[in-house]
Amino acid sequence: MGSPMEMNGGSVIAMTGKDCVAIASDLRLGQQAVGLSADFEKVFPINNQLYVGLPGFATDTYTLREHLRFRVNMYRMKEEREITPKTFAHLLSSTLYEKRFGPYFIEPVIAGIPAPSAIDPDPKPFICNMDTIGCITTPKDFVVAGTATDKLYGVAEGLWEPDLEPEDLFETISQTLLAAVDRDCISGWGAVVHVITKDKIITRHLKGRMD
Amino acid sequence: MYNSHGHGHFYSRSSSGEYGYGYDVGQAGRDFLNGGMGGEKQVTQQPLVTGTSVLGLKYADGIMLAADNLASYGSLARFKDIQRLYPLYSSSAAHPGQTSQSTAGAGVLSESAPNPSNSAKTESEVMADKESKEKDPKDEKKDEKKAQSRSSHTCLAVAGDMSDFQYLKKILEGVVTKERAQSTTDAHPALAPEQIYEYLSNVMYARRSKMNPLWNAIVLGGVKDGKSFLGYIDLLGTTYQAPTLATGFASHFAQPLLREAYEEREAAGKRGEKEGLLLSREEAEAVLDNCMKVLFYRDARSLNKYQIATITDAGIDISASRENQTEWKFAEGLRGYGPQKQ
Amino acid sequence: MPEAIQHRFDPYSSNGGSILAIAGKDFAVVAGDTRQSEGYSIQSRYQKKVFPLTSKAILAVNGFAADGNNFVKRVKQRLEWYTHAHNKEMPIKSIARLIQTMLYARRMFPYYVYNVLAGIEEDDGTGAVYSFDPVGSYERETCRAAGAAQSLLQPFLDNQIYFRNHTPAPGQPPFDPSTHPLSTVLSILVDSFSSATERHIEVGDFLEGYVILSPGRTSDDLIGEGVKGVLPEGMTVEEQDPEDLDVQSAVAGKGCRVFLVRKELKRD
Repeated sequence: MGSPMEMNGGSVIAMTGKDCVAIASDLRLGQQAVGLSADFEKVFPINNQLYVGLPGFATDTYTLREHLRFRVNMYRMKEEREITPKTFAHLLSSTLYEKRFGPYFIEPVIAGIPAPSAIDPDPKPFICNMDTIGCITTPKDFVVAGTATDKLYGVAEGLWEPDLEPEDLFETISQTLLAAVDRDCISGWGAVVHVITKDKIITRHLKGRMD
Repeated sequence: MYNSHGHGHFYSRSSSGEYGYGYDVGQAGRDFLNGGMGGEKQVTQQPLVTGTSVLGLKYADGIMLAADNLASYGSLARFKDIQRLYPLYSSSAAHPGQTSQSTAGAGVLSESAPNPSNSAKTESEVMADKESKEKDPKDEKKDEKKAQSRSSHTCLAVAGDMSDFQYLKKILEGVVTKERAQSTTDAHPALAPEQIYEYLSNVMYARRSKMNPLWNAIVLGGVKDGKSFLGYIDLLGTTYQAPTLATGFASHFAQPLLREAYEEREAAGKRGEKEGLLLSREEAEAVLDNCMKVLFYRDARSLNKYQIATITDAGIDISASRENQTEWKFAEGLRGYGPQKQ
Repeated sequence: MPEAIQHRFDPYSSNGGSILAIAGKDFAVVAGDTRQSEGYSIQSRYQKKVFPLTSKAILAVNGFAADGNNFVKRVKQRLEWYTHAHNKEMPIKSIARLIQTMLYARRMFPYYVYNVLAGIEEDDGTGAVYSFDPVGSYERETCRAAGAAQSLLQPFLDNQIYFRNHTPAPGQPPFDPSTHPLSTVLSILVDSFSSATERHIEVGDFLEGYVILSPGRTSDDLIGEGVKGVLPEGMTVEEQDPEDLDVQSAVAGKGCRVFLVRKELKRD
């Protein structure tokens, strides 16, 4: 049957910019080499400043998404405030580690801008990713995950530069994702990009190669 | 089915003996394709009596190699007086084709080192001198090349199977003897370390391609006309050159120490703190001594008795066997991996 | 008696590194890093894997180093025989077919080598890149990356050389990969390898390769005054004397000029 990580295909990437972050995924869902769907988004909103990408084993994408929706709703009710990206990252991390010896086959990517608060009036854009059991890394440039990981690293390393404005960041993340998934048999079939700024979110669907 | 003759002949023509060499050439190919002849698979040999890692280091006057004196039989320290440094080829103006090996203590360079100012000239050297006087000055460069090409020294340090090492010595001796025979009769150029290296890597690669490798890792060091050469060859035919080399265990334990010493000396030279970019003889020897000590502490297949080969323009010197001072007191109080007290 | 270790001899190994070639209208560039490794060990920081074959064809080999070196040796031998028979250099198109034949001859015991051949086409003087798989399947392309970091390099080239997913502004002509100026190609080359070095442990130490210029083409954008700011920072360029190229210089094709380019990469 092959590894669950490569069963359905799909890739996610997130990048930082100047007071903005972007997160994007391809739209393919497949059963090994056979493509099944071209509208399978792998990036989900947690609140209006925070997104999570869950590439990997598609059934775990659903399970984790629903589980996280429950946990974040509970947090919201108990705390009467929105969860910050950093707190959410740790929530997800510990959720994954609970299944240390029978993990979800998901490598999450998180992107968001924290709301200004009393202790942090000017919050920085936040991105992070983690492995299947919740080990977090928080680079300052970009994070990638999914079946096109190598290709995403190669292109992103070449295209990304610091302090991109939202529109330039959109172009950079889009070109990176499309270039990478076009060389991956089990990623692609279109893409969706979310650019998160302090006051708005720009979501665009990209046409891509359908082969 | 490839094989219609029943006992493993892939090419019927070669097995009919029509070509004298056909059988041998065809054999390896058939064995590979059929996975052995008529059911008896040609078993690839495995190393039996083995020598552990060897080291090579480039320094100011040439190359130094190091290898210990142990040939193991599995985990048994079977032969404890084996020399794994092999002075293969040495040719100089004074003594063409002669390999020198001093039995004197460590650090004494070969006495046969040529001294152009007062040593007797060989016949061919006198001839060369005469010729150069008669020739145009523009040919000088050519003559110089010819004269220089008679100083060449090559030495091996061999790890891995010791019987394969002995076989290698035999075939290399053959090549060298042939060359030497020619070099005594005319101004035949001396074998350069690079040429021996090329030959050796061809032998190794050919044997791996026959699926019957010579189970060794070899560090070859040489100096020709003051230019040093250091290269590695292994059972796969893999080759590479670098200023510091180490095989096997030593590639993990000693190579970082060798590189550190080499690079720090290079940096010191570039900063102008020291003359030149390379380690001195004393420094290089100290680095190798330290590496051999580290290896003796951690490599269970090593012996605290080793030799160092020094290859310079003047010749090859194989040191007498030596040992390092070791300190084992720390081990007295050790229990388990450390934290336990009793 | 040591316990009988019953494992079959594996005649192959993988020695890391990456190679890359890009063809222009009247030039070709081919380069590779100079690191040679096995597993997590760096064997050498400076070992060549790009070799001039003729005065207008250069071969880069990547994969199992022993096979690569011996393959190059055999190709060079065949080219020498050709030169002795025909008193001219073999055209790159023919070298490409020769390589395919030589690789396929070892179909049952392949050379574990990825070949990329670059140079100048004999008939029209265009830059050419030919890439091969280990058993000889080949194709002429505008650019190709191979080796350990192929997956990092190739999509970047798709984007930067082939303009994939780029749309020309309204009214503008379609993009043409063969119109890249040499300076752009060299920048892309250097950026590609810097990126690969950053993310791939088997890539690093030095970038070394060749630029081959078509006969009659100016070298103003490669050497001499005025290339400062045009050439990538830290890159050195040296024109090669055909005598030093280890090729049959007596019959070297007229006009093609070959330049050695070098740049330091990170060593970690």
